[in-house]
Amino acid sequence: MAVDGDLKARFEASALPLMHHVYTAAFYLTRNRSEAEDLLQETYLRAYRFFHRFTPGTNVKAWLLTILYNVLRNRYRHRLAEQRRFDFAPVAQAYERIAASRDSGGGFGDAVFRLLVDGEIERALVNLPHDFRAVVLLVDVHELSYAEAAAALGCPVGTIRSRLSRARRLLQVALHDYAREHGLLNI
Amino acid sequence: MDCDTYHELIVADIDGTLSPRERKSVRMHLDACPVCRNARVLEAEFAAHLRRGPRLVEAPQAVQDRLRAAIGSATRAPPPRRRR
Repeated sequence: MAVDGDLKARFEASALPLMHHVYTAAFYLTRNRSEAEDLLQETYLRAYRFFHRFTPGTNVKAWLLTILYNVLRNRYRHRLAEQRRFDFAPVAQAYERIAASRDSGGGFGDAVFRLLVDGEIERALVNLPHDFRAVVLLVDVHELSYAEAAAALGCPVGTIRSRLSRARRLLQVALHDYAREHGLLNI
Repeated sequence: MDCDTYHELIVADIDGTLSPRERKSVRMHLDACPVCRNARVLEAEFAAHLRRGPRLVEAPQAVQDRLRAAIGSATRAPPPRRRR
């Protein structure tokens, strides 16, 4: 059918080049290559099946990542629920100490970020609790807007803000610990 | 609002997603709170760092090829009513 052929061509031109985005998100969310490959496949087949529902002119990447997240949630509901319990208070305190130490020459900041080896930020990201990891991925790695990220995760924009604020603090506390252990801080 | 809540607004401000009213509220808090002023600098530096990495991960070529082939041969429309 001509219409369907046209849709296929549009899907191939707009969605297929974004495969590495979907795979990256799947990889960081599952922390497992073969699960990520499986999720990539299911996401794309589902996206293709429902491509007639995609609104042309809107963000294809956000749409694909929304589907990925739905697939993920359906598959790993139990595992995700287990990870929800997380005590943030010690992280908030550690972060406050780090921020306060800037004034006393603690030295954590841009200069240290530049010294970190490439893999360190990835390692910190992989170790974030799931909900925080998902938000950092969508906003910081895949560059979705807060509204698009909220739609993808099915939560209010306020939740995106609060998770992002916590996730960035968690990452910095992890990177600070790494920097201290590797003698990158002049404390 | 406490500093914990202001941290959300600080991050959102750096990402350029605050309303003018919220931005004003953040600015007033920063004038009064040295810890959040430090956090603001730290977050701006970190946001720049985050934009440079982490890098995207490429799916293995074989997986990409398999997926392209699957899409290529998939039918998207409802199944035909009778065989041709």
